[in-house]
Amino acid sequence: MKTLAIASLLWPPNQRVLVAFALRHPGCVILSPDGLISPTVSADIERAGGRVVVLESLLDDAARAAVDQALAERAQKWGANLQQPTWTQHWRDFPLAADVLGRLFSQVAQAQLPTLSRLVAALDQARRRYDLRLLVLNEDMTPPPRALVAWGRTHGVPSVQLSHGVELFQPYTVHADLQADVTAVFGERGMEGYRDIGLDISSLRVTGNPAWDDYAQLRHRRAELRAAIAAEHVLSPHLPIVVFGTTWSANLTAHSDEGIHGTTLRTFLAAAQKLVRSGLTAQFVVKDRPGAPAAAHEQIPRLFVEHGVPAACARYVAGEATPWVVGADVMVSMQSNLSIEAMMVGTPAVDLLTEVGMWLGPCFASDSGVVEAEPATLADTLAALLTSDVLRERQRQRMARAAHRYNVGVDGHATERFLALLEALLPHTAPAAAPA
Amino acid sequence: MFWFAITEDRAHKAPHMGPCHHPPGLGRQARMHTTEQHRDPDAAVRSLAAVHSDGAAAVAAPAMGVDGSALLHRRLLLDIVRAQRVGTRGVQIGCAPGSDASRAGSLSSMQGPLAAQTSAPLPLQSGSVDSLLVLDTAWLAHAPLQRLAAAARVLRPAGRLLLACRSAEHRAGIEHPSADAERDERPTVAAWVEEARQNGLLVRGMIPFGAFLSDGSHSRWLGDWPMTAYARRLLSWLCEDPHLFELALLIEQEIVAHLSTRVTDRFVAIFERRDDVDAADVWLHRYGALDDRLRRSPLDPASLQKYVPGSLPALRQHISALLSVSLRARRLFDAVVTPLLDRSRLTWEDLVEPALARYFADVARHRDLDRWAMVWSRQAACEVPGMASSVQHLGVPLGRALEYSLVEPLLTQGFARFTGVRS
Repeated sequence: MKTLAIASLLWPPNQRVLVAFALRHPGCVILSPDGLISPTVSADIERAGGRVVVLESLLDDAARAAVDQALAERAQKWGANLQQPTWTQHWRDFPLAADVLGRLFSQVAQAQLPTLSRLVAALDQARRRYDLRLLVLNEDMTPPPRALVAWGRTHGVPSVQLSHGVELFQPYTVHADLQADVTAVFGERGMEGYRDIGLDISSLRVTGNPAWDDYAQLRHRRAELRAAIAAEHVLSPHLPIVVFGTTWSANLTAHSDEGIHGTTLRTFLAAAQKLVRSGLTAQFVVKDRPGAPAAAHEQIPRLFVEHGVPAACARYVAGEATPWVVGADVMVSMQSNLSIEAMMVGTPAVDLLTEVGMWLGPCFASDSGVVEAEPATLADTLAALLTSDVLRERQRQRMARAAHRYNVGVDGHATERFLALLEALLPHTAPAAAPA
Repeated sequence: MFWFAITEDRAHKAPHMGPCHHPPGLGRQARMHTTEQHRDPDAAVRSLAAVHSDGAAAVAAPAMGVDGSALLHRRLLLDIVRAQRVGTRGVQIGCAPGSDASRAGSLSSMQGPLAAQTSAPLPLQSGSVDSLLVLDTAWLAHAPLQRLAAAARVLRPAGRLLLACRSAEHRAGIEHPSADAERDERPTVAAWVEEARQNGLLVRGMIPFGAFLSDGSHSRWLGDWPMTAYARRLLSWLCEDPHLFELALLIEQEIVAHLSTRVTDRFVAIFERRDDVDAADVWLHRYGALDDRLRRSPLDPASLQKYVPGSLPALRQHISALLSVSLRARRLFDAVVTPLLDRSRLTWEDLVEPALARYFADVARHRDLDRWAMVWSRQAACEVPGMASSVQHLGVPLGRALEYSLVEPLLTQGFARFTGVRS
């Protein structure tokens, strides 16, 4: 009898689900691409009774050579198709010439198909070796998860997407679809966008976000976390801490602004400058995304100085957001799930409005507890939040009332609910063999 | 004594205003109407219609339980009522239980149960009332023409009757009316006019309102936009964003209110008790011409100028000033105007200053690019003959897996929308 296995593309914040799954299914195998599951989490999974197998390891040299051979043949085939009248005819009403489109297609196919083909081959191998029952993803837009879903459809293996965030925008271009067989969302708010664009939402399930389960306890440890980040970053825990979570442009919608990182950062710095000049004492932290350029560690402190914010009051950090979400006095972000995380712990949140955010939004309703600010009013908004106990308390109350809509896991039990969903979707028997 | 109170449709909650915040549009005295008696009806109306005067607060402390759409609805009704001549003896009908008016106890004989009695006469003496306001459309949901007759009886000569009604003409133009909308009995404008004539009433006006408000039906003007969650989120900020509120009011009062009842689901019908009711024909003829023009002729700048009372350039300037300072206002304006432009000969330049016209044209272009991006990404590897089989591996179709990666190159290299350099 083959060993039960699931294939996982879950991101690190949600891999606790895999540990919990292994506890329930001792001996199970969790297949995952190389590098996605860290050695630490692998060890946790093993302690729970499971085992991590790297998908790429299932392909030996012969298998890889076979993939390359097949790829070369396909490349010839689609290359030839791009020269056919059918290609030109299909795009006759498109505002770009068919040969331009052909070049774009070649570029993308050459870049993506090798990885995807190896993934498919590895999954085939996995299916031969293990009783592969379920595919688990954190998104179903980028090529690897899409390939996983397509493989699952071909072989009768169900796929489950655990949303990696609340879809705050009207789903656009690549987002305007649901590919996985089932998608777990965090709350009612996460369904609205799909419903608005007319998608069938019968595949949605509300579980909450396992990655945010810790907030249920962390919200009671605010003083402790605040003291810890203050100590680590040489800040005073007795002065307000205003955190700005940066953003970037994915360029997946024509509404995007390539310069949004710099524009919004400068808006925050200008607001900080205004507050400093007004005599308000606060500490300003720019929290960048993991993977931000190394040069930012020098550039952004320099920008603070150029904007007249004393070095003692300014910090640049990158990495985990959680301690800042809990410990901050105000969390500023742009149409971001950071506002929802702030909602989970009652940290006042400001959504700095942007063009792209408004044209694909708005993201929050007035009763969400998230304060929206235009760039010109950010400083005044921050000043009001930092100086008015009444306003802060009112906002907290609103957030507390709204939180469940955004994430039912505000109770700390999203992991259990998602695990229950996996159990419900796990076929009781192995999928039928694919037709020859 | 004159009591004046507003109720809302059953779909909206009565607002509760916190002690520190005054939502735009109702003013600091807004709570007075629940407890005060005004000897001067104009003062009562003015106090209710006072505009929030301290400008845009950088942070409007969110008021508890104030619904943005309901606030706009109330303000529109208030302003319509304010513009009418009301006498010293007024009655308001249709208090929802628990509403401000019913709590005030001023209309104890006019509580909710009355609304259910279609045939019961109003417990008022004939000819005893200067003005009668029926602003809860639920009262007219059944046998509305009988209600009109009942209301006419209690009016003094020259007394005014204001009825908040639902439009038959608007419903007729909608493919999927809500269940409630289908159930409501809705006389046509002509039927209202004739019933009014039979009861000694002259029609003084029919004022459409509530273009953005949704009762669950599609809007003839906006399609299903009012029913979407993102529209509701946007409109929720009406109670927080004075610029947004002012824009909504401007569109309603400077444009919508001067069109015919086919444009919105709701309207206020204004009747006057008159001996000479032959003037109804004149009104009906003029109204019919307006409605006919709207129905047959696509809007263009010349015809739009005929509908709006003020000058188009001034309107353009006012709108532009609001849009220049509020992202939300721009969002709302785009949502409301884009369907209009699709069905008319108007352009952005007719409605806003040139810089904003270019801005909105850019937004429309971005939408088009997104549509093309979706067509491209979904079809390139899946629908062009021969392509799907050339991108499969081991029987697994990989065409849809390429969609994500096809979008940015199209927008960047193909349409030059981006440079690829993020700053």
